[in-house]
Amino acid sequence: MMRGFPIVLLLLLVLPACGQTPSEFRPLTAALGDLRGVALGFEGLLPLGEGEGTYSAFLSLDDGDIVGLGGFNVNDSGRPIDGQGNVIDRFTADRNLFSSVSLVVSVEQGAIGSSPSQATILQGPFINGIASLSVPSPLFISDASGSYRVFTPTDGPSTHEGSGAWAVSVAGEATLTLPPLNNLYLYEHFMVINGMPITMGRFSTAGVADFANPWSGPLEAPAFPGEDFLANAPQGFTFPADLSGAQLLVTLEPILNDTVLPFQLVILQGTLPAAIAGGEIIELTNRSANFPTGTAIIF
Amino acid sequence: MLAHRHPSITTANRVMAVVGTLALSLSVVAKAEAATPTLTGLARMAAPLIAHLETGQSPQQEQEAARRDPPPVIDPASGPVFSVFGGSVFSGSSAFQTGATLAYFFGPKANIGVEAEGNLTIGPGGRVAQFMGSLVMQAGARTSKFVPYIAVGAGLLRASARFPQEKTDALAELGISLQLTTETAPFFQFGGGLRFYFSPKLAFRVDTRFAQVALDLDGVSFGDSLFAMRRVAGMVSWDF
Repeated sequence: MMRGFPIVLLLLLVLPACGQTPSEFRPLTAALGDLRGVALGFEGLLPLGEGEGTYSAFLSLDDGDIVGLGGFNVNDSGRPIDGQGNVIDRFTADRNLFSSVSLVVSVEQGAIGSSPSQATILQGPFINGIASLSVPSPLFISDASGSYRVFTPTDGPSTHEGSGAWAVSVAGEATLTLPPLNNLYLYEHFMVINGMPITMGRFSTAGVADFANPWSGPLEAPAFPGEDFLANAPQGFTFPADLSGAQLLVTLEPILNDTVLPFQLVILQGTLPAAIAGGEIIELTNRSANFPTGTAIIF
Repeated sequence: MLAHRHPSITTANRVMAVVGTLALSLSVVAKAEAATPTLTGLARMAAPLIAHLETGQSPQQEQEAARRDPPPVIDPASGPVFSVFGGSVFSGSSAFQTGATLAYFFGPKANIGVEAEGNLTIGPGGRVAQFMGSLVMQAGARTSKFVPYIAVGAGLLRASARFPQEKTDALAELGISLQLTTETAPFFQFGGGLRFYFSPKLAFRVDTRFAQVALDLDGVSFGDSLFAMRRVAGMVSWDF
């Protein structure tokens, strides 16, 4: 008996190290709670185009570790797809996800790191292995409202009055009602002229000026969010711009993911009339009900 | 559960500790068996005298009679042993396991035995039923209350994944239907433990087993198809 003991000792030391949990779903591993797959589905999440980055999902485990599931895009049905357009039914990880606490979907620019960037678009906690994902938007975002007035204060009165829009009333009061921001997002407004969005600047509250007025004229701008489209026209635009029929968007933008194009979290939206002369009030409609949602299932 | 190719240092240390304890126990008990007679000290000296008083024969006559006609070996350690147990399977998330074993030990020192075991693991995502057989080697069954043993064997398991209806429905909404919800797989296992007899017939037993399950995976080599399981159980054993 004792002569065979070294062999058994060797088995005890070596063999437990063999074996690995398969990445595909298996009833045995599932029964034992060794779950390494995640299914994702979305509603309203827009496909990302060229230069808009890549969606990436990250899980937080109960020990504080973060597990990345890799990058993906979405198709028109809201299903995650890989680079070849194939639907990803099951994302897999190399460790047990049974104890996952929450999942974050972010928009990553460039290489995907080991943790999500600040560009979070969806997140949610797991309850019994299922997470309902929603936009971590500021509280009361569904109560946001407001209007813009069409005029061009930075080039003096009665000149190109149809080429600017500002969130201030004739009486000099803010015309936007926006809730306080959280630590993920800033507000940004865009004018979509002939289908091409152009930023009007980022801002944090409705009662102060936005961070920049790159297209405005030489005169002092009002201390409220807004923009005149008079100078420094970027490629594809002609200034002073004719804003007839243009669309005005107020969006939530990730603080650390500043891209030229508007983020897909459109809070307020309005359309300028077909014939702009200046002085028009553009009422905005709250679109936060269209924010994307999603579901994540560990299995 | 040791689900990775490279176990952590902590896991290796645990295994080393278990193995070391088993080795030390086996060594101590083996030496004790070799050095310790069935009766010791004054009891050993008194036994022939008492026998002489009872039979009226001299010790020499007794020994000569015993040499010509040795008494039958009375081996209380060999025979069947029945155990029931509860324990935990460490694989991903801990799962409760319960079951029963029936063993039979052979030989003058009951060093070798065979054991059949059936158990049911109730996991967070389903259940696993196992049936397995083991060859058991133990030491000290006649001389010590502590009986360490090692075991090696094989078996068959049947696993059934049972997700809550809520999860099944959520997967179905995404167009995902789990076709494979049960599977049967063979495994081999090895391990060891220790029995402590707190009465001649009744013992408490600690048992640990490592198993490698051969899953039926498409396009995967045998080595990569192995799934590791480990269990630790506390048992109550009854020697018939």
